[in-house]
Amino acid sequence: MLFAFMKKQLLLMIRDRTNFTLLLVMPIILVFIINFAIGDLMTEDTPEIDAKVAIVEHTSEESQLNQIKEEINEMSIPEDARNDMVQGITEFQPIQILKQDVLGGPKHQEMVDVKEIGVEEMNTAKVNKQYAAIIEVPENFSYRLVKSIFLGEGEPPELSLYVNQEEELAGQVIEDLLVAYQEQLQTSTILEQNGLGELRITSQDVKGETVAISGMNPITNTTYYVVGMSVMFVLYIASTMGAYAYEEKRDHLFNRILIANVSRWVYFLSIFISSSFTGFIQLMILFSVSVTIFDVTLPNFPSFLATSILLSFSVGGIASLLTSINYRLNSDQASAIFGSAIVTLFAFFGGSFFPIGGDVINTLGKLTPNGSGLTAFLSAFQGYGMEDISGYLFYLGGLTLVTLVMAVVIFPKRGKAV
Amino acid sequence: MLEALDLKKQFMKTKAVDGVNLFIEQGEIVGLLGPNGAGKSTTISIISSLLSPTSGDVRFFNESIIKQPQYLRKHLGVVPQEIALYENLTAMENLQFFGKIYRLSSDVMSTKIKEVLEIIGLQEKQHDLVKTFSGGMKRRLNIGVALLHEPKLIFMDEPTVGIDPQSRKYILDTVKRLNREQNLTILYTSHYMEEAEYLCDRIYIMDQGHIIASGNKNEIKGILSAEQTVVIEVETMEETFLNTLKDHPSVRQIDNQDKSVSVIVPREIDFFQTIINIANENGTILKSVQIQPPSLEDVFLHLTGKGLRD
Repeated sequence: MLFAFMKKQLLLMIRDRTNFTLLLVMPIILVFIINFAIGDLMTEDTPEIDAKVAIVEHTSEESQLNQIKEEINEMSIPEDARNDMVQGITEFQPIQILKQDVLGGPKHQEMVDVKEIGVEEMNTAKVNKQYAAIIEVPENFSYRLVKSIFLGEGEPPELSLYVNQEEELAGQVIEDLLVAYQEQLQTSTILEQNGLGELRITSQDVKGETVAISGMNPITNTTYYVVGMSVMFVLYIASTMGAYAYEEKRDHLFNRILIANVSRWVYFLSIFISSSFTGFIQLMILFSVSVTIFDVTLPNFPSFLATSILLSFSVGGIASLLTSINYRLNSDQASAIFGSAIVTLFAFFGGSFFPIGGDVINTLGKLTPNGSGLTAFLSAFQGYGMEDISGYLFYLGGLTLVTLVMAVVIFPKRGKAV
Repeated sequence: MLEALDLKKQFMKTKAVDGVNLFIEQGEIVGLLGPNGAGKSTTISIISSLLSPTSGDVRFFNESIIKQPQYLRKHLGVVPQEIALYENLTAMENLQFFGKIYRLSSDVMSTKIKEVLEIIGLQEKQHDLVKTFSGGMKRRLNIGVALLHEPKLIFMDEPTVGIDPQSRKYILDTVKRLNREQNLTILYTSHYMEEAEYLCDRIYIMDQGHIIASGNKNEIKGILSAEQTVVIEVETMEETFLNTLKDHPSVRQIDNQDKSVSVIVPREIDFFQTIINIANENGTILKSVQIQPPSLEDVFLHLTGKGLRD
């Protein structure tokens, strides 16, 4: 029976030319227009980064490590343990790793240009803003770090970073990398001190937030607007379904369905399922067209699929809620207001038109189903896995549940006249 | 088969239905007549299990349907006054959808749809969208949907409103045929008294939430057995002529429409000469005067004080 309801809803939607155009043709056209309009303003790839970074070492790392090795050799500990520690220290060269593997590694060498400068040059470099960032390695950094890790003496030292505000993006990239590197150092320290693993830091372990540097696929503006428009236009399914459901009540079709011994809750479920299904189909069509026309690539299909399903469910939940309100008010005003005003607001805050900045607005945006869907989809398009987007998926699932519960409470429990 | 016992339904302070008792025997066509706002649709909603009564009971084969409506619904077809169809689906798609929700198997549904399309005469149009249909065709399909699951009882709420005379005749003949050939029990409401006269074995007349008269056609007409109806046609209807008629002590009821007026007067009175005198006094030119036995319309007018289409 639910299949009959779904078939009927799909037929009605396909034959409703205005809605059909709005739901399927309009988003594609808008992506075309937006792409064309801003194509020259935004590059297809992530912005090019050419980060000049200076490293200032107050003391030579080699001499520090030699010093600590000598101290260990003089310690009255078993020879095996001593040899192990010396061997470990020989392999553990934190600043060398930072310079060669993290900043100068194959992933980042095209974007990061590392130069070692002396302490006396540092102040001049700061004033002249010659570098995007300057990393200052304090005196005896490696010595203190090794002592802290291997001998448990003292707190691990920290690196200092000076960021050139005029090169914000490059500075941000270096900062992200350095923060990740230090976090990795701390984690490794804890593991080593507790005998839980070997002390080893490689550039693989260090990922910054910037997509291009972390190794994930970049988001082109085409991909962004394909996703932005899709998550916005899928919301119109909810208002359309809510309006159709109200027409069924107005035209006494709902009563006719009840007379056929169909429980009102089966009908209610049919609204949820039909809306979710239609939303899912719409997303699939839009993304399929986009993959074909706009050459959008999809590196993580499971994440994409899970987001599509959960977003479709939340659309089903909203459609059910709108249906309940329409039935309760005996008018299609709820659908009309949602379709004309709330979708636009959601689209704005959710970032469908352009990425929204600011913590509060950004958080608000992610609370909208489209905003949450957008972030999850973009992550999927970058190649992130399910574990990375699980928060958004749970949120969409929760939103579905909340809207369904509200809809059930509001839905009239007894029909009116024939 | 079905009986309503002391049904009452109150919306806020308005009593829409106030102590309605009625019954329908298997194989009957029963008419439910009344002016707008009489409570007919509310009564139908209650006895078709869509609306709970404030008090009273509805029994289908002696089983109350108030809390257990499923048995009635299985055997009930409802033709609503409105066109309850999906306009953007074809006739066939509408029938298939309702067949599915009536849980008909594919084989049975296919046979029933053919049968129904034949009954309602829409075989040729089965693949056309409903929105392209004429009013009469929509009304026929509206009836067809209610017949799909072979109901024993069918409620038809003004099924001929707003259609051409040819379609109307087709529907009336179909209703009569369904009753005669399939022994279908029908509760029929209408604004057209002649439809009730043509179709119904028994009639209930409702006004202001009450049943004010019931019985077969002759019994109902017997209410006015001591009276006669005089239908007067005039060249131009003068206000003074109408007022003089209204004020005449023998006139029990008067109903004027444009250039004709019908009055109910006692059978023993020779009202013919009186009419001529009144016309002469008011300068009204008479075109015809007919004396008729009372019709159901007259009875209705007599009982409710208003015409059926008021």
